[in-house]
Amino acid sequence: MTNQILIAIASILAVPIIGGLLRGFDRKMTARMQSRIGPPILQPFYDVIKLWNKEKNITHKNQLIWAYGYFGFIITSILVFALGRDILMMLFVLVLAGVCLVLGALSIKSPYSHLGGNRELIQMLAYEPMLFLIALAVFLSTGSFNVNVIIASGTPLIYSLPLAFIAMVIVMVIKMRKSPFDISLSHHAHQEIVRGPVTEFSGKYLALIELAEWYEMVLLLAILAMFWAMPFWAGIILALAVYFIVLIIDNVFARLTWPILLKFTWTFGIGLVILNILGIYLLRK
Amino acid sequence: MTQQTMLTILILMPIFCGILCYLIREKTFRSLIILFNALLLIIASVFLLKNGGFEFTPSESWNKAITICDFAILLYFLFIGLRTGHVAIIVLSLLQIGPLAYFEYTQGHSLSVTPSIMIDQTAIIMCLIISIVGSLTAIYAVQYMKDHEEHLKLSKSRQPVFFFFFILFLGAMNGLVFSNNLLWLYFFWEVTTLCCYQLIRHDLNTESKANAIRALWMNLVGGVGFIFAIIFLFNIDPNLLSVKEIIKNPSGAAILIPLSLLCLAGFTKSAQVPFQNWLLGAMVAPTPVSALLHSSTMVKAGVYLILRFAPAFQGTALSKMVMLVGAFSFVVTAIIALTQDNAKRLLAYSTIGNLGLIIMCAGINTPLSITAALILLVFHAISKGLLFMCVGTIETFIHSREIERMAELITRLPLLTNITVIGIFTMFLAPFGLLVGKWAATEGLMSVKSTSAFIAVIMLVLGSAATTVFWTKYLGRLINKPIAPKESAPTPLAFLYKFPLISLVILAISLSVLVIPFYNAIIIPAVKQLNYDLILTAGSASLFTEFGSFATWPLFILFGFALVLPLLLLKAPKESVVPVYMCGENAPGDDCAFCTMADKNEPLQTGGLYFMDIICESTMEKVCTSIGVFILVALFWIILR
Repeated sequence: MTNQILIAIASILAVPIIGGLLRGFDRKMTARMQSRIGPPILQPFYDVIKLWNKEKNITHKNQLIWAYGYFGFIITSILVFALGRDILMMLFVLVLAGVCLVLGALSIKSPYSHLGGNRELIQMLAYEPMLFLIALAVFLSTGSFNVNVIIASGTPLIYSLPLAFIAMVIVMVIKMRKSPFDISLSHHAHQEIVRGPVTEFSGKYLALIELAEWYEMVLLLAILAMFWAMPFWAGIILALAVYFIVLIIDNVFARLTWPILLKFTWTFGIGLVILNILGIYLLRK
Repeated sequence: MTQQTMLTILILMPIFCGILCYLIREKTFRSLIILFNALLLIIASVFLLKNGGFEFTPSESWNKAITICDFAILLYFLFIGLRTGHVAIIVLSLLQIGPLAYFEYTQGHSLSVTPSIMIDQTAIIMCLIISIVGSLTAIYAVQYMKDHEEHLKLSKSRQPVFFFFFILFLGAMNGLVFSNNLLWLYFFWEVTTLCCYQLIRHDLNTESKANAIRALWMNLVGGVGFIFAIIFLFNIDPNLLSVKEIIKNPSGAAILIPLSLLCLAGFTKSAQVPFQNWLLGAMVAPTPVSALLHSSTMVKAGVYLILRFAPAFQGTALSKMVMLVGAFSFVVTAIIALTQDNAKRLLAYSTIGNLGLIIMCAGINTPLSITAALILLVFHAISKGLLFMCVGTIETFIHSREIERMAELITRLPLLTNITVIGIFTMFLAPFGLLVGKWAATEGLMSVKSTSAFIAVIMLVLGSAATTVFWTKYLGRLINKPIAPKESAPTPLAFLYKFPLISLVILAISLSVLVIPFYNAIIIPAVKQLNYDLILTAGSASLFTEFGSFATWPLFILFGFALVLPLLLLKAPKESVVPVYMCGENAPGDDCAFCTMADKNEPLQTGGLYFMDIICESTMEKVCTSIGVFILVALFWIILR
């Protein structure tokens, strides 16, 4: 029990540090790819601290509740994962967090925020079935939904789930708001100043959402690492490699429209996982 | 309370009170009868839960009475068919009268099935749903019908007829779930069809009459299936007219034909594809009717029938087909619901989808999935009843069912809007009860390794994603706040609206928080009595399957921290409230308008996304109806082969 509490506290404290550093690395790398020098690695931390101390401007109280909700539920899903619980439940909580972000955007009568909220919904429609199917594929391969059992199962999942892994990379691109599928808001300000669902958030509350995104990013990387859970370092290298690939994808592609996103994920993305599941079924028989 | 009194209160009293409602034209007195009936039903159902199930056989004369009433109803259906000149109704009612008459003439008169009434835990769960949610709907209807008739400016009130069928419906449903004798079950089945028909056509305009006729003929298809199933079963073995016997000794392949006919009856009643049309048409009825049909009665009767007979077709081809019909209904309705901007139609599609989920669970037919089905059954009844009443109440205030027009409602009707928001939360989000059911359903489905399970799971996942989107979109409209709220007092809510709504909210939340004790005390006995081993076990804070777990109240604590605490503690100082960002186009002096051509102020408008150009509802409907018919034909082809 005390062990579990320690894991929980450690993950809550360590995750934003990892997330912030990765974000800093992201900005540096992106700048280098574009022949710029770029900000220092610690810049994301400076940004969040600066935002935290800004004047608190809001349009009304309700939007803040959803910001807290987004932050709170992302942390909850991290806890579910870190404590080795049911991966389906983790996804349910993650969906709840996503819903909170959309509701934060839609609760305000603001044109840009609404546009962002609706587009965020389209993104959810695109990645949610993929994430769930990946979880089900993991179950078929290991016989359990519990993260600790999956991690302890020995042979790397990526052997049996190569296509699901590729689908997970696509989910990662969408979730990290990277081109070509950054349709609701772009991670980098180079594409837009008005930032979709978070248009109406400022100061401390924007910092809260930024922090939540760090948590979420690390969570997704942890899911990727789960595909090669033994030995420990192999998973981390795998996740970091994917992170680097996502950065390259981001810098190579331009933004695409939402119908393309939907068509792409509902055919190619979902198709990949289904093929993978089908493969497992056929090999079993 | 003795067994006999309990049965009298639960089945006969609603019928009696219904007749009283019809005879008494005085409004206050009628309302008192409805309240009295509701109160007594709730008390009796709780007593039934406390005392546990039992078996009972009343005197022989009841059999005769039921046969006579059976013919009366069928002849009435024939009369409706003749009066409206609807060929399908004439044929379908003749197809029931003929076989029933033949059956009664040759064998029926010497027939007695003991026990006539068998109450097990599943029936008790259904009875609780019918008596509690149904009674709250009746209380709600008292106020709603008053407002409804005032709005329509009727010269002559049709409320006596309305409440006659409304209250009768509750009694018939209780009779249906208690019957062990299939002929009794069939009788109550027809009574619910009759009540449904009358309630849908209540407003007596062209549309409601047409939709009532459609509901009638589709449900008569189920009735025909039912009577043929009875005759089939009797010919296999006269003992099989007892529900108990069917579940106990499945006699292999021979029994599959009648069972699939019974499943067909279940599909019609619970509006599964291809019979989804009648339930959508039923939306023209006054909202309490929708709440009643969708939560506690009608559609639940179909689901109940399939769940009830699930043990008898375990591991057969029929089971797989039932699973596919349910999964298919779930995914197509979820996708069509994406395009809906009419709140009642959205709720209707979501009902068909959720029933599909329950039927899918019955078709998976493992202990875990049956557990999931029962959990879904209870939580769906509560949440959907609540949501229909919310939409109905909203409608009495804004005279519209359009979701887009419900924007900014939170400033005008804060209590009602918040209740609706909670209702929608309970429909699809963690950690509420309905999602516990969905979680168990997913894990149940994954533990079955077959091609059909593989197809069903893909449908389940796609449908779930669409479900999230359409509910979130609706939520977004409801909580949308204007930039400059008007300083007007919110509209108060009548007590008879508030009482059922708040009771259901409390029921939904407390059952979700206390899902473990609820599961231990109520669901476990039902699963055991249906002859399934227990697979879902309950710990102190989580439900466990052999390969996963679902934390319940710890999640609620986090839920409180994330949403409720900020709601209570956050204070927004007046000076920090700023207008929204409009990219420099704000009209001077007006925060809610753009500055457009010739310095005119164009008011700001926002709206949801309805995917109209990607998904066409009418085409989708046609396609899924034909696929549904195809699946049914395939079902019978496989069974008969």
